[in-house]
Amino acid sequence: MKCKTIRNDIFLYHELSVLDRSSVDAHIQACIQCRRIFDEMEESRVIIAEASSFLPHEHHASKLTGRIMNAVVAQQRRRPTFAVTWLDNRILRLAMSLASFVLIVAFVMQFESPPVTNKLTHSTNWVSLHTTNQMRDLRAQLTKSQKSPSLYACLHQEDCALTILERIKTRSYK
Amino acid sequence: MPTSLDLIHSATRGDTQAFRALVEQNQRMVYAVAFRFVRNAEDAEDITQEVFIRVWRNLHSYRPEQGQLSTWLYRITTNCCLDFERSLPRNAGKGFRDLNTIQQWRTQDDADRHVDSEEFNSWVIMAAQTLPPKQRMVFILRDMEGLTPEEVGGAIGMSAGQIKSNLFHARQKISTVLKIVFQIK
Repeated sequence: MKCKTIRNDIFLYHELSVLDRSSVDAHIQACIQCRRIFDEMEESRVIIAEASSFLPHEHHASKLTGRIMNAVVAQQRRRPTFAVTWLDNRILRLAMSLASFVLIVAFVMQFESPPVTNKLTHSTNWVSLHTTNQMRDLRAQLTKSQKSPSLYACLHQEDCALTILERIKTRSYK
Repeated sequence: MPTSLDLIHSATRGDTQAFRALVEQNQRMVYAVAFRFVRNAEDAEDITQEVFIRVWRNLHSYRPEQGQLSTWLYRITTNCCLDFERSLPRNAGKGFRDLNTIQQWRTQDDADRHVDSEEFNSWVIMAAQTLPPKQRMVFILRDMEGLTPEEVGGAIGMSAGQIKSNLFHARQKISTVLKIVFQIK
């Protein structure tokens, strides 16, 4: 095996499979350069192992525990009810903001879109035709109701009732 | 004595005393990882606090069948450490990237003196500061905390290949630094 491959393997010696490890062992027996790198690596490993045996500790462990617990209790007090806690989920928040954005865009587009024109062609299906007719009827009804309010609606308005009576008179004369 | 799982169940129901016991059990481990990562006691304490706040907030999401409590804690600690590193202004805490600076750490007088494990620890932590954050975390978890490659992968969210690649570069650089510091022949 080439020295380059072995040197890469030396740094991962303890993660290698038994087979790969034995091939590294066989190589370093024969190659002085690789043996030197291996020894250096092993020395570093001993230093790191020695260093790891010392566990860094807090200067005032109980003080830190107290600090943590104070922060936790403060969190608990601030914690909202379940109705709002589900908002803690980042994905859900993102989905909701996206949905709100889409709704706002749709709302704005509604006002900005041009009036719908239905071109009646030979291929127009009945749904479109039906909708068009319905819209036309509705519009006619609306115009009609604006021109002459119903007698019931005029019951409480004297002027309105008089207008209707005059109209009826005019029609009868015609 | 209640187990960690009992404490978690009680804490999930809002028992702060159970949570305190859980903190006392695991605080040192979390602090050690944080300290090795940031090499600063105050920052390590802040990270430890943040870790346990996140643990408290996410107690309900802990599933014992998905892994040990320690693995879950390592994962939260890793995230907090990396978040901390990201929050630092650019070039802050990166004064040890230069090998010439490292050479000045240890004078000849120091080299002749006996070094205990605490001092070894501080040298290795200093050497680890030369590594990029993720490489440093992989090195700390694997070589200093003694986690298996699978546990490291679970904690840091990396594949086996990525772990190996990061370990290779980390060990290569640490080895170079230690060679300079301890004048390994």
